[in-house]
Amino acid sequence: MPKNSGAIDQAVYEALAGDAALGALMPDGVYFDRAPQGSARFVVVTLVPGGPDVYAFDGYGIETLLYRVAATVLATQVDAANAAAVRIDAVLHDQTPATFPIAGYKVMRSERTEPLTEPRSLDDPENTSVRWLQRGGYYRIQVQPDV
Amino acid sequence: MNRIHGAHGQIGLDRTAAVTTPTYVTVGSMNKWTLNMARDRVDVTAFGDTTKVYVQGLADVKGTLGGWFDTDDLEYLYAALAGTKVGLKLTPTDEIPTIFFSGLAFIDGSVDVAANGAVSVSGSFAGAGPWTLQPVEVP
Repeated sequence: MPKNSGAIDQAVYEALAGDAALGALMPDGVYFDRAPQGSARFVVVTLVPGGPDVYAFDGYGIETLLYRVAATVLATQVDAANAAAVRIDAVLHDQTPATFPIAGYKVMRSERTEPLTEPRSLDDPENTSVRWLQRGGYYRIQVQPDV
Repeated sequence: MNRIHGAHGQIGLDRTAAVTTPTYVTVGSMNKWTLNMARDRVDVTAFGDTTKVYVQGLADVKGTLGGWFDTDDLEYLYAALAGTKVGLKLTPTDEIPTIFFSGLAFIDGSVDVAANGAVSVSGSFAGAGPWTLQPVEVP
């Protein structure tokens, strides 16, 4: 069966974007890689190298994807960023196939591997008077394709 | 010369251990097998020999099996727990299903569950009767 890892991206997006509490904290939305100009409170999801596929004889294996998920706000809004990180963890950590449906796959394990540890305060490259803050973590999603 | 990859290997199991017409069921979610056909060798070197000399005993058919724990396919673990002999068919690639090793064997198994990984199964087997390689060699 051909693999459609984009369905896993879609499930991550839908889980985050569909969480009302996270939406209240980050009203400008959830985006992969880059948020639109003018966004002030949003979540950025980035797919980073997670691990090789592993296989069984019948061709069905296990895929592992790692996502960097960052609630991003202006630096003065640290409370909102921290609260959003808690919601991100509630949405992505320790999910089951019932709570985290993925078209064509079943989640085997979803877990935070580590919090964001790289510089989490960022100067705005286009406006040096603006400083951004990020909170969140790296989430590993391990799935098996439906047979 | 036709070299092959192990991605399409296969493990078949016949829990009835039928000798003449075994019915093998493919074990799901497996991803590894090994087959060892080592033989005992006894050193019979004598005075005057110019090299060491051995005589060789019977093949000691043994091997290992491995894969993922599959909630929809527990047949291997049932057989391992039962402890009775089974028919075992080991195919290097199901793309050439006419080439396979088979015979009677005793199997055992283990399950590895860790908080940071997929649940896996592994086991070993030892011959419980004659083993053959198909197709049979034509002298």
